Amino acid sequence: MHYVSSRAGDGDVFERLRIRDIAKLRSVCREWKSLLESSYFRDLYRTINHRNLSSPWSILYRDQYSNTPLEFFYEKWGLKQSLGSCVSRFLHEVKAANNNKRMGALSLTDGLILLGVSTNSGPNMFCVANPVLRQWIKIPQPPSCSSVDGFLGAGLVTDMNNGDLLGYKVVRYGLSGICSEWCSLFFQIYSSDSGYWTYHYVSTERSIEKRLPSNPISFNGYLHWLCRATQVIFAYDFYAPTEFCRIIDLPQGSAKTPVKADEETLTISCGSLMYMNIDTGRPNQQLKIWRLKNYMSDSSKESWELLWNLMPGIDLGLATVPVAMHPFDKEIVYLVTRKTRYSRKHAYLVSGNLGTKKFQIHKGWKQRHREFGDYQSHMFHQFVLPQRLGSFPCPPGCTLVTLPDPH
Amino acid sequence: MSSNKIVLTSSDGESFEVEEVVARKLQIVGHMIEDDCVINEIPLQNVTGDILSMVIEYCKTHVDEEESEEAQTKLKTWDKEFMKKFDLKTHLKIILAANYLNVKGLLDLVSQTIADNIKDYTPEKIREVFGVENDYTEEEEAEVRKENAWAFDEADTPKP
Repeated sequence: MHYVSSRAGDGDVFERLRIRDIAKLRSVCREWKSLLESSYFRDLYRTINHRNLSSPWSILYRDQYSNTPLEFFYEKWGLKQSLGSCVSRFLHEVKAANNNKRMGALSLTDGLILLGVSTNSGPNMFCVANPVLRQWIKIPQPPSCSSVDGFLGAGLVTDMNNGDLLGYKVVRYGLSGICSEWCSLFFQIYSSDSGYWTYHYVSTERSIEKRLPSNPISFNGYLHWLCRATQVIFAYDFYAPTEFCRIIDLPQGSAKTPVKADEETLTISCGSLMYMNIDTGRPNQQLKIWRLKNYMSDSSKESWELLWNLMPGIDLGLATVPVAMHPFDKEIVYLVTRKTRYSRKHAYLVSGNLGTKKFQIHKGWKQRHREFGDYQSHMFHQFVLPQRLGSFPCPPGCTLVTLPDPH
Repeated sequence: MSSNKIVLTSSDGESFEVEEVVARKLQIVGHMIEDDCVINEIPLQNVTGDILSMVIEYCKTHVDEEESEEAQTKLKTWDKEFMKKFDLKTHLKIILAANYLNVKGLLDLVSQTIADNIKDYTPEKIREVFGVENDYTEEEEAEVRKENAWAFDEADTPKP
């Protein structure tokens, strides 16, 4: 006891343990538990571990033909199994618990997964799940609304405070407008705080292409849609709702030749939203990465900071697609490149260190040969656990289901 | 270069004569020297002779920290071997001493060593080695373990 009271605060032992070990140590005694759960300890832990931030993460590829996510890169940080295998197994069991109804992962963020479950009548049903805690919550069916031309997709945003999950919102989104002028976004939002669905119309001030991308990136309570045709990002903060949607012009502007799809993507690294693009199809293609500095400005110069502008050192195929960055290391990127060998086309996943300019083909990818178009960047997901895996807020009127431990 | 000698005396009366550069590695001593100019003998109330001798051995080895990679690697190897000589009980005593004497490098080293050693321990084993009393009721403990079930291996689960 004496040891902990007097010692633990001075930058010693506990801060050097993995989060998994710390979770175990909570059951030693009351004092340890309250110490290890305190914000004081959490701040210390973060300070000591700033160089190797402590959350486990994976890069998953959500296959549109099956429910099993493929996992390519991961860091376990002491977890029993990688997040990918954890997610796969969990999805399988949740499906079984739902009478094997068709379901798929729609969105992954802060350790949570939004699942869409097919129903015979009415709109999709949603579940929010935590695959590590093996818990899930069935969200009440959204009320049907006829005034909208159908929803285009759904996403999940979270309310995080210092690594704690305080709440989440399930967001269905669609477009509304007159004739071909699409000028506002329509949201149907379920909040874990209130436990009911609400509607919101949000003006975008600019017309939106009809096809909003199906994978808005969820970050800091915002959803971000990267619109390629108009070269803007639409961003909306679901925890500080406003009348208008934020519009962020992409850094290069739209003066150049129209960019082909799949050459650019949004990703998250080191606590910032990043925009990556490659000017595919040209010799000496360049990989550029910008960090979003602020959401406020209309001028793209003030919003973006160019982090990288380089020619990848290896002969990447001419059709190279950026897919994601390392969530905690802004020098590491993941790309998909296409090469022809023995007159057959293969797609390869490549990881690259921008600092050393070393690029490495990921083994095992070649076997998974399909058409290149299947490997779109929006099907790659970063799945990062929050710094703490404590509670999973259950909305009023819902039931938290915990699957039994598999062992 | 002057080679002033300083005598460090432990709580149980053991005395160690060391060079000033070595003594200055103990920041507590460094501050005293700066504050009082001339000191030849320093009593250290909160550390016993056996532990103090280990701290001094560490400081002597680390007295001139060279930048070269080779020297760093050599020092790292020495650190590892040095730590291997002691058990957890001694490590804990060294941690207290390193904190009291304010030897940052040693504090980091011994903290990391303990962390590496206990990381796979079960809560039961942790209680045993740290002498911590389990003040949970049976139900409470089961609840806490359930909350953190993801962190436990099969092997960690106590047999019924």
